[in-house]
Amino acid sequence: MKAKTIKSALLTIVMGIIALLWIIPVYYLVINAFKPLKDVVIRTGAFPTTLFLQNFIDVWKMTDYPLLFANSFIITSCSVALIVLFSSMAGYKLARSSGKVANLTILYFLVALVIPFQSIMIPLVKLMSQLHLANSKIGIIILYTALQSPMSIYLYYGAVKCISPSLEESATIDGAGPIRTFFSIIFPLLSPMTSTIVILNTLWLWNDFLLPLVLISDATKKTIPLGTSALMFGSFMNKWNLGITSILLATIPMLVVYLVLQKYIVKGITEGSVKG
Amino acid sequence: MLNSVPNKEKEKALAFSFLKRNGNVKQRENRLTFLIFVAPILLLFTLLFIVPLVQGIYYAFTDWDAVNPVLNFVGLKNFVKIFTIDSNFIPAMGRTFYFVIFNVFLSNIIGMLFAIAFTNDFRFNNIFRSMIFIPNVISMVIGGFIWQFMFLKVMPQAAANNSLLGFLDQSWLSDSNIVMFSIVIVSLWQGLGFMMTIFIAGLLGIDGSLIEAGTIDGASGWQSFWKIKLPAVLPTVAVGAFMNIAGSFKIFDTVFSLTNGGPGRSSEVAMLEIYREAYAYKNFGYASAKAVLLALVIIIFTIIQLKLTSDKEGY
Repeated sequence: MKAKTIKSALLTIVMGIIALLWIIPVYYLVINAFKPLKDVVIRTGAFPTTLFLQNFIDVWKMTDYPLLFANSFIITSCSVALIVLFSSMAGYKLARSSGKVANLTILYFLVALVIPFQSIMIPLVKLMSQLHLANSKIGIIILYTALQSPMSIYLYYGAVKCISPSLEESATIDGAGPIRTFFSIIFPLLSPMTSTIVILNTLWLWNDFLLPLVLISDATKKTIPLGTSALMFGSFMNKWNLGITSILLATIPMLVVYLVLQKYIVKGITEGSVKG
Repeated sequence: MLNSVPNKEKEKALAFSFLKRNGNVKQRENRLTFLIFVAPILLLFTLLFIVPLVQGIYYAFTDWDAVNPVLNFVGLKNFVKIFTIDSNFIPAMGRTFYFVIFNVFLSNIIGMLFAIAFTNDFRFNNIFRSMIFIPNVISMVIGGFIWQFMFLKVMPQAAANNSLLGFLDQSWLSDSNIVMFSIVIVSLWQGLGFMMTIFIAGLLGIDGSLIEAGTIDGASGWQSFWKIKLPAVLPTVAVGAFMNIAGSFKIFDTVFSLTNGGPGRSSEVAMLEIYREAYAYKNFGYASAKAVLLALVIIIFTIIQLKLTSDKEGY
């Protein structure tokens, strides 16, 4: 009994130190965002002496933060909604069909899980501009839907297989069409999987960098990671106070989402990765 | 009695045709539903994934660049050039391998140690766990900038102010011998929370009765880890490791913001080299050939990972 108490006290101390080390970078971001440039450079580790808010005012204007936020929000939410719609329908129908066509279709989507984005990037940029979808939020949304759906189709496919077909059969006997059956009976049953898929895709798409980097050059359409990085290599170069503040502002949205929905996020990521 | 035979047959035929007609309607309906449910995403996926995939393989055999608007088929010339004249891609692949090996080893070992610690019962367990997970929700490109600040400002100053922390004063980003390791540090900071979490899920998923049986048979904590827990959690470790390998080969965002490949080219990883070949030098055909090579390496490890996942599901 005593050995056990000592062990758990030791674990609290050791893991506590490690956990603190882990969030130290975030601590330095926060304290330095409230300091003028001179203090950031000379006394990086010191706590701010006054509540200096000028960095936030400058960065808010220079990055046009509300615009960046709106772009990230629109692109992420619309893409996730379309991914859920298309992949739940496709995953459902494929799980309920047993023909050769259905099996081949599933294999065809499997290609997307194996081939990395990097190998389609160069032709994709050309193709997107030929289709007049480059440099457009709608274009990025359509593209994310196409590229991210296969993974979600798999996850839905597996989830539908666990639902007994007798439910839909009785609905069909009652005269409901396939679309109504799906949305009124199956889709609600899939909601645990839907929440996993929403969480995974929101995190990926919100934080994605390479795809917006090669497809968006128009400053008014940039997402938070892209717009922030452009200024870090531009106007914020060597102006650490502004750089730190813009990094902090870029980190805040997902951090808040994580702190509020922590339990679901960890569960979603674990299930998505282990099953996928 | 005599008449009843043809009648029965007639009835049967009628019934059969009714069934058949019904079956046809059902089949047609089924096909229509299939089209409504599957076709939209199938078409979109084909247009924006399969088409560029095929194009990319084709471009790898052409001399497409910004200067020459006409594509010429050049056979294996691009690939020969990569392995003979090119002095950037092979070293970039080497650096990528170096990163993959260190990142995968360390994140699996440390991730497992953290997971074992967290499966014990102690105070603030949940709070510490979620603190370590935090960097996982931060964009990797932003993570690179955060650490640029840590390496260039915070660490040297901490070292100057406290002699115990003197070891923090290194040329983290300007010494070509250290820089790849600095990238590993950032990558571990962002990725360990994820590895730890899936390992915890694996460890907790172990059948409790197995461990109990081991304890009754007199197995010590250490023995029960090596003989019971580790073999049981191994499939999860394997899946996590290969997912990690495939992901590590794709590293781009962190390097882009942390060092942008520097000093010189000493942290230029494969994907950054390909990106520059395509968008700085506009050698699209040549860059496609490099992309095909990198993709082949990633595909091999991804297939192993998917196979391990499906084997694991088979249990």
